[in-house]
Amino acid sequence: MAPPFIHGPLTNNPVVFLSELAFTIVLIMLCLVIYFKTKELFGLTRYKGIDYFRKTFLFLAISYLFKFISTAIMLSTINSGFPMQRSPLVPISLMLVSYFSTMAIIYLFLSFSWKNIKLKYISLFAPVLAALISVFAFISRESLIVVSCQALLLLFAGIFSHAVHKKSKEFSKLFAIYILLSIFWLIGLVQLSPRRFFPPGLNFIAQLISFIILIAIYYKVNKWVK
Amino acid sequence: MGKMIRKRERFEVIFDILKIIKDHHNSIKPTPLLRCSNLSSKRFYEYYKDLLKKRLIREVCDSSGRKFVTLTDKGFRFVEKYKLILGFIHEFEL
Repeated sequence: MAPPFIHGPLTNNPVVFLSELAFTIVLIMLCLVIYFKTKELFGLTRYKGIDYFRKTFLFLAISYLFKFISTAIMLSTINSGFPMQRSPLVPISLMLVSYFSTMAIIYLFLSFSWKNIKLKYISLFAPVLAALISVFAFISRESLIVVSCQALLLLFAGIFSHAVHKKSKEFSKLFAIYILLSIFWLIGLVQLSPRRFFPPGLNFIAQLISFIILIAIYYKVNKWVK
Repeated sequence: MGKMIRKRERFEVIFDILKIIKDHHNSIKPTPLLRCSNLSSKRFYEYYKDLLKKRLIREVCDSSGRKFVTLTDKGFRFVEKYKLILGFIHEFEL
């Protein structure tokens, strides 16, 4: 039985494609604004937490860019009639999306838990893990591998954060925002798989919600960085 | 709890040192600065070296060779933005 929504109307619809492009540009801009707005704060303090926080949004901006490039490559490959499995650009773009988005997730996790992590070479661990996941993605040419690995990372981050913040007995709204942003990133990433599990248009909704979350984060940043 | 003295956070110590310099017309000798900072000599010099390294303060010598400490532009910016820095770190649980 054929998997549902294979190369469905989502990718072949120019209106949806253009709206995806517009959303991608806006999401990248928002991430870069957050990155550059916090430049002075980091310059003054050289504080590790701020460094991790800033780099999260830099990696996220690059991830959104490569995700869109991946979508465009897949679309052009499908439209040209060239078998997607043989296109060399598909695994390369997937590898780059995988690397930068894994870095974003790890840095986001580090931004609020770096004080509780005693690992000496944590800054080395992040790129090694991200590279490992991106190699899997390159070999398998399957975004679902990346989604699974990143979902596991999120689960670990959730358990670790819960254990650390258990003492405070306060539910961190910020952590919930981060988890939501990551979940909607993963939903968007599933779209890069040749097998489509979600109905067409869900990626649009995922991007819309990511946009709202990023606006909320931007608003919070703007409150403190004039 | 009443007897417990809260350990000063790192940023608070940095701010206090910079504020002392600023309040002394941006020119103070290292020894009075140590005295005003309420830190042990060892801890003070750790912070002192760190502040020099981060270019928040600089050492200047007068015509008779006496050493003074002054704030750099970056140091002034830190004092000015201190509350915003703390607020940002607290807001994002960094």
